[in-house]
Amino acid sequence: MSSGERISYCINVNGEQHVIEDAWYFETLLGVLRKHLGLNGTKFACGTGHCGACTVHVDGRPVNSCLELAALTVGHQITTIEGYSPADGSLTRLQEAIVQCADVQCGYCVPGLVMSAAALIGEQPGASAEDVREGLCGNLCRCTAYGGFVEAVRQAASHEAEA
Amino acid sequence: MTGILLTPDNLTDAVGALLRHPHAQLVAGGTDVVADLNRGRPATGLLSLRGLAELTGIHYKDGRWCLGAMTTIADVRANADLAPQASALGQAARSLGSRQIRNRATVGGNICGGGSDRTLIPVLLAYDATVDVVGPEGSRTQALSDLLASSGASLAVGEILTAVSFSVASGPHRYYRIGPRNALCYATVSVTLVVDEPTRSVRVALGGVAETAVRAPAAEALAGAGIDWQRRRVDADVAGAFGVVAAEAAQPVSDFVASAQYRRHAVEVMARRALKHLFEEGIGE
Repeated sequence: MSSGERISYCINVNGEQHVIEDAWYFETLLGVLRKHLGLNGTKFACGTGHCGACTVHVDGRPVNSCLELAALTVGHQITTIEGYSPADGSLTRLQEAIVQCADVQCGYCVPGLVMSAAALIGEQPGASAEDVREGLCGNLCRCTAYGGFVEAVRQAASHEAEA
Repeated sequence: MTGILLTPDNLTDAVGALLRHPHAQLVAGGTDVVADLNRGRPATGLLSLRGLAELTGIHYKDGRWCLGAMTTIADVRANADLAPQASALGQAARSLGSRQIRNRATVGGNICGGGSDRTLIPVLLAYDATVDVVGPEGSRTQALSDLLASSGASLAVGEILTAVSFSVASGPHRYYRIGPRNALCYATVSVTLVVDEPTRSVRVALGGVAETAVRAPAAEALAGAGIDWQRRRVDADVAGAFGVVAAEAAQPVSDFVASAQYRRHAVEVMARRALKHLFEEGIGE
């Protein structure tokens, strides 16, 4: 149990332990990732779980990091877009498919969308376009570039099913 | 004390912590509470239930399903036995929020989070669910309908909802909703229909049309008497009357989502179609 305005704890992000010192006690995981750890790939937009720009994986499941109290993620494995992307700078098959198919304008939604799609493909390899539309319902793209994304994720899911 | 985050790891400690910090707000999945914090609502104390493993899990015993309050909506949907058997609940779980929200939002939070627009309450009401509550005075089991009638599903200070239980009627059941979009919004209006074939009765619960989810007893009686149980058919005039009477149980308000008139009309149309739909599909399927 912790009391007082500010607390310290240790969380596991992308396979590494990070000591978070002097965090506001109700600080969200999103805030800790961006402000304390400098992992700015995860985006802040709505703060209410409606847009999915802040999607990360906790123990492999996609969640809205803006709705996650960071202090409650102690002992869990957090993966951000930085941890999902290959360390050598190459792209995953999903990311390559998005580059090929999607018409990105501002790109703000893309990291969250990739994290959602990666989890979806893991759960539903071979997902149809309809499955992808339902599975990505928690991610908004204000440029409304959904068509290309859906096709990219469907292609990546199809590859996953064949692999 | 300017703030506190309590993280007990068992129910006894949680009840004790609430006695010492009666104003601490319970947090289950956090999808409502943390969103409120982000909107700027001040909070001085939170008690997270996430460490209480004893509140998670889906069990079937003696003909009743028991869902721990901290069971996530994703787990309800993914349960290979529960979701197909309690099909209205499975459908409601599928419609709730988004995948990210369902991975965090819980059964207990959905019931106690407040508001008639919460997805699971009308479904559980149609299943005649009971809730288990633990508090400083001990534990109790009560009908969800009683809890809704007495307090609109808000618990007394110091109390924690631990589980919800129900039995699944032998007959078709289904959850219908209408809303601004398929995901990430509360249903503007929902209609849950549960047909209990052995007792030749129909239960109908409405969401989004009153301060809490409500049953429509007059419509239930009309359907029970009007359905041709032998032929398993519903005449168009019976279905039409069912819709009209169900809409009379609605006491909706007008707000930024929809007018009261729209909501009443939606209940009438949805209930009529739902009854026809269930019987055209055939009982027992």
